[in-house]
Amino acid sequence: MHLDLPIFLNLLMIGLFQGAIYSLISMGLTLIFGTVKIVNFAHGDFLMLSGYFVFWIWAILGLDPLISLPIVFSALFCLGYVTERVLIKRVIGRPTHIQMLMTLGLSLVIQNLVIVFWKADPRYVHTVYADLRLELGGVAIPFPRLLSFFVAMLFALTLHLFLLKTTYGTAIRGTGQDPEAAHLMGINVNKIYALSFGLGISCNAVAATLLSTYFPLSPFLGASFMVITFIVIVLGGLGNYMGAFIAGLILGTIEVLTAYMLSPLLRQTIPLVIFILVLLLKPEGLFGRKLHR
Amino acid sequence: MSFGNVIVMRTICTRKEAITRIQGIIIVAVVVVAAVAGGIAWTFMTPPTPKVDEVRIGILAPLTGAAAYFGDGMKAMAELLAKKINDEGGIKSLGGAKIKMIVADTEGKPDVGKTQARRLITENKVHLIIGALHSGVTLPAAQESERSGIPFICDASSHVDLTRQGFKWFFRTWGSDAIFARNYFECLKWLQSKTGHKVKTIAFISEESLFGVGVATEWEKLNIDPELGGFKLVAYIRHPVSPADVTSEALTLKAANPDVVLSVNTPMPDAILWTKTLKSVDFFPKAFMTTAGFIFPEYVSSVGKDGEHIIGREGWSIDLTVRKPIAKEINDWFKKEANRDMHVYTMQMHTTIVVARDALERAASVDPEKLRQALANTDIPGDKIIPPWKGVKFDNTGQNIYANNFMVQLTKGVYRAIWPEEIATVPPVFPAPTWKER
Repeated sequence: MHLDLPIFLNLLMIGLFQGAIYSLISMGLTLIFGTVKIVNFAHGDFLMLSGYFVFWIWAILGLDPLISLPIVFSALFCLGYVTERVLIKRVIGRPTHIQMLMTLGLSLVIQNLVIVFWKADPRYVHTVYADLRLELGGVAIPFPRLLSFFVAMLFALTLHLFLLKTTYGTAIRGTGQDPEAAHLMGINVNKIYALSFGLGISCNAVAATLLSTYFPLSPFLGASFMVITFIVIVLGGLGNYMGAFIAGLILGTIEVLTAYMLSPLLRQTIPLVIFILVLLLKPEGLFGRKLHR
Repeated sequence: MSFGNVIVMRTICTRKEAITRIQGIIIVAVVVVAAVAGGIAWTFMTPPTPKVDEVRIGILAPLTGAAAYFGDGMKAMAELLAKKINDEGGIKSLGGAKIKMIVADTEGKPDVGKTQARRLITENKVHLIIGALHSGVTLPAAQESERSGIPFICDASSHVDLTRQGFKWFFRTWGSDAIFARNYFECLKWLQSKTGHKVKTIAFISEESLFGVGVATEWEKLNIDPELGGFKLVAYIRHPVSPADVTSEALTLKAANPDVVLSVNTPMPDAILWTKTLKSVDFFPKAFMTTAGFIFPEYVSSVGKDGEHIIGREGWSIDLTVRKPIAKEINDWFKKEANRDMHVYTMQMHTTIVVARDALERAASVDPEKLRQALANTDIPGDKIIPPWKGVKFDNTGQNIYANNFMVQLTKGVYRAIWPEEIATVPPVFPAPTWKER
């Protein structure tokens, strides 16, 4: 396989750009797991739903995805908040299989509602910068993907600062560590659960907005991303959103390099091998706290 | 003779007459009783022919999953066509029995397709099954049909193995990958002779599905054929269905720089992703020859001008409405009723239901064996179906011997027929311009 420096740099950048998307989706999923202690199997479908929100705002109002980002973010936050209050709260603390059934059922409902209302036709957002490319020393960088990367980094930093520096952020982290202690400290744990779920879902809004600038939308968009997302959150440490962020970047790069240098069929095989190795050797993840039996 | 003798003789004669009359009455009574008894016996021994009120046809289609767009169209055509036939009087040889379509979602998954086929047969008691688009789904579903002795008419799955199983109850109106793969190389040979541009190198892209691998395997075999192929294979890219990114794959192609790329991608989002990614890495071969996800109106609306000059293996093109009256009639009707354009899988659903209706009329029965015989003896002329074939006729493996495809090129947003020349409506653009030249 022909590999020179420009191609390698190109692959590296595409890997990081792809990884940034994985990071955003994974941060949302691991935030939900870390606080609410539920694995949200409908996470990919909220990503898809976010994409449709972006598409319809663009199709009806003509707004570029990046301009409609705050609207989509707010809408998905509210949707996530309400979903937790109406559905998810009923299975918190219940056996795992009950939680799985709830979120898997939610996944099917979302997918089928989208098909009923908007059919299975693929959608594509046309932006004015879709075909722009930056040429740097023989390396061609697609502008939408470069822009997505920077927006993803900015959002990750904002989320990190929110969780670290604000009262609500501290409450979320505290509730994740020990809900009972948080409750005793006067934190409204139920409200924090809803807030965390909403925030986790709205990470999808950011990911979908950035994806929509170059990726086709369909009711099954989530399926393309969920396998790698689960690998990322395990690699990063369950509940560790910064771990998920870094792991996403790493896995995105590994995936892209593997597909070029070895085979596209190994694109997800290598990450899965890494996933198994991590589970065997460091089950708390690369950046998680050691699990005590 | 004395008077007494006369009386005796008259009495004897009368008695003889009386006996004869009694005998006659007895004989008549016996005959009547025998006839009645025979009639009763016949009635009980020969069951009455049941009246058929409805003909239940199971439709297997992917209503969810990556191919849901196709399944949605298949369902629409099946239900609308059933209504049309019923409005025209139903199956006349069955006393006007109405057709009832029972659509089952395969989700594009083999295990689900198999379960749905079993459910259609055992619970819905369908008289025949049509389906199932994905070759990987059709095979296990057809096995269920074979086991149960219910006819299965395949509308759009093309894997060669489907007619190599020795199935008795399986029929395919569509062509096989062996036929279709050949169409690419025949067209490529014609393109070179028509334009004078020679092809030296080739690359394949295939998704990891039964369909994708099946087609690519046939390409590999044909490429060895010195008459049709003989090109240097510089890249063979296989990737999972619905990938999250194909940049690495596109860069691989760019590095290999083939003259021609043959591609098979079923889901439309994959086709759109490939097109946009090829543009982002600034690579487009002299000819990009493909099928499935690339050959739909929604692909065009998504990629716009970026899809120009794509060459597709097709079964349906709007150009058919110019050359075939039935194509125009059905296309106009479907557009009005379903409020959407036709595509190759809606066309194939129509073709297959035409075949099913024809078989039902000739069988005049929903008995499985009679229906199977009727299907095996199908001989429908080309003017009764939309595809530009001689007609529909099955060989002893259940394969329609007349099935074939033609090639279209996306020209100013419309798929125009370019090969074979006798149905072409525009000249081909070969070699295709690069991205910079457009």
